[in-house]
Amino acid sequence: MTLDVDDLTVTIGGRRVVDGLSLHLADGARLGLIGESGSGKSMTTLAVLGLLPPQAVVTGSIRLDGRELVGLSDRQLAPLRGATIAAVFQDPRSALDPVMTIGRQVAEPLRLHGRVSRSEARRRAVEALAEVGLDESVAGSWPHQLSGGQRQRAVIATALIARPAVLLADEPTTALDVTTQAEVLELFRRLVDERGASLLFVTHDLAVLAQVAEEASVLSRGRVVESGPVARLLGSPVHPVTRGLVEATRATTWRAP
Amino acid sequence: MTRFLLGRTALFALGLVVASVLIFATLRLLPGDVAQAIAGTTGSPAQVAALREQLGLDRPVAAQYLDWAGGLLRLDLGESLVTGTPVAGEIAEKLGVTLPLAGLSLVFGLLIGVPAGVWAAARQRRPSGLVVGVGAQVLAAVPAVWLGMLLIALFAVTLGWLPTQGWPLDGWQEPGRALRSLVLPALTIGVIEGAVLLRFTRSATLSALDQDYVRAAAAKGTTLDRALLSHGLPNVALSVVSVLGLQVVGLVVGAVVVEQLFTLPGLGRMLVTDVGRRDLTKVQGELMALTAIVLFVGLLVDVLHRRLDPRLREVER
Amino acid sequence: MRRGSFVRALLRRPQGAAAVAWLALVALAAAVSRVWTPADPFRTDPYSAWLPPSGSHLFGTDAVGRDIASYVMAASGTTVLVAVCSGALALVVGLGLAALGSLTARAVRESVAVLIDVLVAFPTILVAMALAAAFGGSLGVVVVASGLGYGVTIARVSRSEIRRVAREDYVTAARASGAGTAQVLLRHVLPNIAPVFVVQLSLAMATSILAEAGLSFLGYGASAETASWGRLLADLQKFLGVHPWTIVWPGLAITLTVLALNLLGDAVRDAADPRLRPSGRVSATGPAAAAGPVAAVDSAPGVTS
Repeated sequence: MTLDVDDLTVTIGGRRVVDGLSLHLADGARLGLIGESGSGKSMTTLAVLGLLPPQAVVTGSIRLDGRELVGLSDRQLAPLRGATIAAVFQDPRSALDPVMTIGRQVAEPLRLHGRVSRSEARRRAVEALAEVGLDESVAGSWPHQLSGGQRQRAVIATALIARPAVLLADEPTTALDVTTQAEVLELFRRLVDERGASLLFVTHDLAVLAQVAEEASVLSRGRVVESGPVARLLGSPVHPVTRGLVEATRATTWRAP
Repeated sequence: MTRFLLGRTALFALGLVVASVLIFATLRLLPGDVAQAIAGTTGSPAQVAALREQLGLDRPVAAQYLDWAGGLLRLDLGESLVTGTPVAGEIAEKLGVTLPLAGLSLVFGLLIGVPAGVWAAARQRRPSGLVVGVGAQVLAAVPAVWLGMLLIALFAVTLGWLPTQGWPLDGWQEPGRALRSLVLPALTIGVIEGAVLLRFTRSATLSALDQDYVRAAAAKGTTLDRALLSHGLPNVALSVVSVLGLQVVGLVVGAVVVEQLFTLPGLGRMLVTDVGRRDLTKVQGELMALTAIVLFVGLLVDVLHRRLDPRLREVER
Repeated sequence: MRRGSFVRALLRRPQGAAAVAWLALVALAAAVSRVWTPADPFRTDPYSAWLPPSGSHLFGTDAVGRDIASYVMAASGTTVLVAVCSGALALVVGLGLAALGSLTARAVRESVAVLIDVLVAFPTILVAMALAAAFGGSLGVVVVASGLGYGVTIARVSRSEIRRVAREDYVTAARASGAGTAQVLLRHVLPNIAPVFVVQLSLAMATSILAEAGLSFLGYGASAETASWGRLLADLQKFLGVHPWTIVWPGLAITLTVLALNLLGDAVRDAADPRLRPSGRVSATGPAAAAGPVAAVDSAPGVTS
């Protein structure tokens, strides 16, 4: 499935957090969205899902396989969420409901969309957890009993369980330590490849992006300032913001022993 | 869980002890001669002497306290200084009115406050949400006495739907009439408690909305409103349980005044009368009973909260 | 944070401005009533009973012909007196207990902490009843009961505030650059916890006004010779069956004043929070944020805080 964003503008409280943004996510492709905090990247993913704060004003176009999403009501968008477009958010600590077991939360997309029985849903949840490398016993645990990495894997399992065609990942590894980061990224790559889903990967770290996406758009203050293959952006960045990001990557790599 | 239970029960017991000491000490602080003050100007020296002996005033203060405390443990609260009837029995009888009143008030309060609070948070930016929020703030400032009077003026005097005051002579033998007598009093307390609960629930819900998990839940395939209901609510309910203990304080406060206004033969009203009559023994017992109820409900609520919150439960893995 | 900008921030919000305006009006009425009221508040005139509102009797008259407007005005003095005294007592008790609970030896601190948690559960009205049984009802009983009752809440809030601020980085930094304990207290701790105390003070006053209304109604607050909004409610109650709506005047007076104090507390809290001042609202969910309604119900119980 393709995702086309054309001249998207999101205004909150008089401020344009996303300012005329356009991007094209081809079917089965992996596109990165990179920029500093406040550049509007998270707002873009929320806009696609229709989960912006109520006072946000949205103009422009977001088309999923040609179907216009901007202007649809919550109720019209609900059937698409989870089953067609799924999301992985940044902080696994707050993205999981503290008073519900992991198993139930992973199974939730199935229960919300299909006429899936509770036992069937449980079975598939355990399967999904296994795919991300989590033991069956995790299904009966509570979020606070898991480590950050385990929680994020659970969140990924939840996002993929209903076999979505498009996956939006908003800084999914930022809250994790470096080792876990690498593992989770590998997981992302593998699962997305296996299912042929399209991936929009949002991050502020070019090094992370390089491991996942082939193409990327650089965001600054709500608008795209440069885009192209990740290799080219890394090798010969044009825009000052891009150059800044590349510098930051080099600095981190430099410091590594 | 057991360790928490022990600790919390110890706190409860400590509360009872502190309460008993404070109540006893305050009532013995009467300026001048206690017995004389109670007997007033009409008492003969013989009556005053008899009173002094009955109260055990000749004995050291500590001994007097221990006597009374010992009695408390046996649930023997002494006899009324005015009528001589056993205090414990009278209190038990009056509780038959006060406890149902408190219970009904709590039910009203929860029914009014919690759903409205969640709704006000979900409609935060729209005018309807703001109106409810402001309304709750105004209601929380209304004195219970006045609200009760307004309700009487409207429902009893003007509309004639409910009795203005009083309690059926046969009490609970006539459950229908008894309940009708409790509606306005319980509504008085309930509305004010509801307003307080509304503000609290609203802020708890806003807090839940701020959290990612509601949005993440919506992203799984539902609307924000439904996600709030299935994920936000249990978390909000947990917060509400955590403050219920303090709500009970409001119920007790309300009961004293409301029973007086609606002339309900409950514990609160009896307390007010006995304070006026300086029936120290009864007052001691009544204060102790009311405080014990408040502390006990606090204990129950804390234990319940602990049991419900998975983060606080110790799970064997 | 400079005082001028704080006051301006306070008054810019409509609730803050309205609250301050009403409270100023009440204070003014209280002051003026010491020397003048439209009519003698206690003068009875049986032939003028139950007159409807008019030019000479702004709120009408009651069962014994007293001018309700004058009575309400005179009673505002009682309200102001009770509120101010209770608030002051509550602050003294609260800060005293908090000091005991923070600045002393470990054993004392722990005992005080437990004591505070226990005392918080005691309803003010029961304290008032106990005092009334011992000393007879009076406004003094109302003040002491309210002051003690809310003082314990303030103690609890203070302790948690002091603990919170003590852990903040800027305190450690100040200490590291050589500031002594007193200097740290004065220059860093106090200005940061001050807004919380202003909020608590206004809540304490609001609670005491409601307590006075209830206790005077029960007959254990203001005496018959003192004008009080609560007493007026008690007097009018007997005639609820025939003259149900005169109760509006004293009730409204109490409600508006309590509401104004609550709103003032909210406004102070919002004005003091630097996160809220630049542009619109940010959902403030700190410990002080939930302190709104009069009964101080929101300050979470000891177990969960």
